[in-house]
Amino acid sequence: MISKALVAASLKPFILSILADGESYGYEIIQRVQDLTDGRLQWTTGTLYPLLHSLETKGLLEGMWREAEIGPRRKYYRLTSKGYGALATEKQQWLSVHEALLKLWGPDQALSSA
Amino acid sequence: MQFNLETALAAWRRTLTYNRVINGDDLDELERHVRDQVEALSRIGVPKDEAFHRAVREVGSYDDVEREYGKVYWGKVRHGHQLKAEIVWRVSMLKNHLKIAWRSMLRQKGYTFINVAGLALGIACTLLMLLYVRFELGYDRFHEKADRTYRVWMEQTGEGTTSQHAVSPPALAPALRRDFPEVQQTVRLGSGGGGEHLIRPSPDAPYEQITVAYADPNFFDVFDFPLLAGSSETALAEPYSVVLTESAAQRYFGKLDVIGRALEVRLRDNVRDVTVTGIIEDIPAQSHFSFEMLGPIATIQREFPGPTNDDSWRYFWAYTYVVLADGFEAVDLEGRLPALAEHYMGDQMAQRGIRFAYHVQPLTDIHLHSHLESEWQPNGQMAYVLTFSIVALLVLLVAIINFVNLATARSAKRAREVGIRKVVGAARTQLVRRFLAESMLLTGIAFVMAIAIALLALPLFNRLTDAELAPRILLEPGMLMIIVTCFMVVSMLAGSYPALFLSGFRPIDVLKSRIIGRSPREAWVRRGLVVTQFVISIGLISGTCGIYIQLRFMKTADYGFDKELIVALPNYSSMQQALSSETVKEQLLSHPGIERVSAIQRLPGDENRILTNAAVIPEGFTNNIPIMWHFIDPDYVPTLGLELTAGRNFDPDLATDVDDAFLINEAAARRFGWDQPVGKKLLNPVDREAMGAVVGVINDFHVQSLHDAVAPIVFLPVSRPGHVRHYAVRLASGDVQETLRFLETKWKQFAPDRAFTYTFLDDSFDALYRLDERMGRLSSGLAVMAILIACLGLFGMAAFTAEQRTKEMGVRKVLGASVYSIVLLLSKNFAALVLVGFIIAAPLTYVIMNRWLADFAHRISLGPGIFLLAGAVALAVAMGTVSYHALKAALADPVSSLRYE
Repeated sequence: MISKALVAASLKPFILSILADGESYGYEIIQRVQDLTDGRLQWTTGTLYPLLHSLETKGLLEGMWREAEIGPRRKYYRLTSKGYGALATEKQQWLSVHEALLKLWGPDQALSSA
Repeated sequence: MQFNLETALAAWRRTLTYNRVINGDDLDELERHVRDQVEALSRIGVPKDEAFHRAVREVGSYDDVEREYGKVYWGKVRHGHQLKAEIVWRVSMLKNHLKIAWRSMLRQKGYTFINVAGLALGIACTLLMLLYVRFELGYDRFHEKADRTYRVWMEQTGEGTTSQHAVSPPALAPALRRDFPEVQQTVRLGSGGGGEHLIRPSPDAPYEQITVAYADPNFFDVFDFPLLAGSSETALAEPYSVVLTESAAQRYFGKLDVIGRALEVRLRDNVRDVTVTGIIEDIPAQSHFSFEMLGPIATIQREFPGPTNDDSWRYFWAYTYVVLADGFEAVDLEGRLPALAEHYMGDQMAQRGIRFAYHVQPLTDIHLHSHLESEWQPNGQMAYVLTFSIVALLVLLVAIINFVNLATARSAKRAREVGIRKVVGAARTQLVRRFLAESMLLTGIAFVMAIAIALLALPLFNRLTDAELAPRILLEPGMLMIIVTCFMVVSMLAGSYPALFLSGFRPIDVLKSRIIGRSPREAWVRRGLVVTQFVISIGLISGTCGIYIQLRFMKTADYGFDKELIVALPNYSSMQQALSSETVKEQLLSHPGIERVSAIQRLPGDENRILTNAAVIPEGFTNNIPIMWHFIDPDYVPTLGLELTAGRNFDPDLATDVDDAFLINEAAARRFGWDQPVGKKLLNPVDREAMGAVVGVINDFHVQSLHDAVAPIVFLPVSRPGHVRHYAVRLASGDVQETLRFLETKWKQFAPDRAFTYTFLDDSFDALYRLDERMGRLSSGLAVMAILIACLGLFGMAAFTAEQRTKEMGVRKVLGASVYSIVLLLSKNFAALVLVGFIIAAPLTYVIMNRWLADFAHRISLGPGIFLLAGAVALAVAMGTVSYHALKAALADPVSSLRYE
């Protein structure tokens, strides 16, 4: 299992990246992350939604309500232009860290994973 | 139970609705998520309830949600609007809790009522007891200087015996003032010499008796009795002035505006006119002394010079009070008193062979802690106050135990509701809060009921305890604070057990209908509680029985003489002068209804206020012995039905008897160490000359209550008219009323200006036991309370148990069990509990009762009878209570019982 710190740090880049592909809603986002990581990354509902709201407050996301067939409406999120900018920053920071680590571990490490 | 997603979702949503952080939109979002997840899981085959469970768990608990969203919405800093939101939230939480509590109460009206009623009764008891304790503890505190006021009492030691007296010589107060700078003020109070006081407001009105006191002019400086009329400085300045209480003034003059009016007062042989110089409010009940008329000591100093002089150290009649100056303690004063005694009474002590010592007691201690001889009136007992406080608390304990027991049992019925709440993620704290809110609501109602009960019962309680508790005492800030504190404590106590206990359920147990309340540990706790209740109840019942038996014993025991049908009639001073006792006896004996008459000084059962001990040197002793004296006539022995165990009675025909003869009682003979008392001499302590010899010995008889052993007494023949204060008349059995009428006519002849009064001797003895009777009444009241509450609890428990075993009973009936055997089955367990309670209570009560009885010189021995009786009563009452439900269960239709679920 991936450490808490890493999970926490990766939350924001994941959300921004997934939403860059197109608008989505909470449950779907969680599912996508699970698929992407083969279940190694688990998020609880309780951690995801507050972050979504936080990003929304900061203006990186925009939320829209859509009616559903059964039950209450769904809230869909998508990136704002500010969000795209933030995503770019995140990518840049993440990759620089990543590259530095790769230099230490050797380039062939990138292909094999634990 | 069928799982319904919509219901579960709604319930879960409700629990988060009151979250102070998230709003409706957030909640929609979360619910949406849960639904999506449940659907996804269902599609892969997970059963709906488990899916729901998982999804909800992933959202997190109430607290988690609060924390995570809180971090985002509120950040690290608490903003002002947050606090407001928090308050709003808390209030709505409380309202919500209370609403739910109220609804659940209504759903179970029966149980709830029993629960609340039992608690209310217990609290009412405790409230009343609290008021009573405050009353008893608060005697004499209404004087402003009470904290610095003390009474000086006297200890007298001679020839191996010691006696302690509340009175002291009149010279003591002036001496204290003179020699002790730490004594700021002294006040003497006297009870008027023990003779009767009669007053009449005008010559054409009849004389009436009145209680009188005499005091120094600065009395109102030391004791706060506000004057309604007149001035506190001058009211007692002149002799032959009097201050009346409000009700006395109303009684004699019909109004209060009587300053300056004259009253005729008759004191012993003297008639004097006095002037009213002041009116005070009636002496409150919380004062250790009381009177209706107050005059300055100067008056009796004029009337009876000698014993009342300011320099007299030989007569003891004054209650001496001192006020210490600021900064001085009682110990300082007490340490210097031996020197004072030596200085002023040294000669007397050497001469009489008696030592006198003075001690100091705080004014406020007198009522509960002072039991000296010659107290103004009999004081209360600290031991009784303590005992009753403890017992009242025990009764409250019983009530609380009930409350907890029933609340827990009741909650077991609502276990399912609890289970769902837990499944949908209600945090334990929330549940605890909810149960506490419920218990607070119930306790609050119980308290209100209790206050109402206490107020209603107050008059009855006052009669039981001879107290004067006013309803408004309950509303004093001090009392209210105590009440509120108790309310918090009781509701916390009562609510915490079910709250903690219930919120610890495992939800799955509940949903799968595993009945809560069957676990052995809980059953033991419940049993233990019921047993405790019965220990207390049985203890109280047997204790009360014991008290009443001892009381009856004391009233009917052998007093050494035949006290039935003896009437005591006063020999007024007017009569003393005019009529010789022979004449009176002759006239009375002419009536067939009168068997014997005796002229005597003091009546058995009388409580005297003057030191009546004097010292004598019995033959064979070198030092004085203080001893009690009685003046009697030769008819005393036969009238009272006494026996002479040696020698002879006084002989009216023997002239020498008048001056030289003594009678003693057996106790005196033992005290003096005489095997052959007849012929032994008694010597005058002053000059050591023989005063006379003993001619006979009377059997021991009681002149006081059976609390005390028989005291040694020396009897002298009546030699002066003034000795005869009473006539004791033995009536023949038969038409007593007719004889009394005859006596009334006679007394109207003897003393035309006096109202006719008489006392039956056994009545005046009964009066000695007032305090003990009060104890008995209080005790029985508490016993009734305890068992009532225990039964209320038992009623609820029986209902609960019967319900739990409905199915079992149904099966048994179907299998052919008789009604009787079912009732037996259900009652058996409770009977066993009562039995255990009895086994614990009996020895405990035995020990405690014995300690109480040890105070009595004459006492009953405790047999098993009382305990068996108490046990039987408890068992009968318990069975009666339980049988209602047992019968109901036994008579129920087995078909419906088996369908029940």
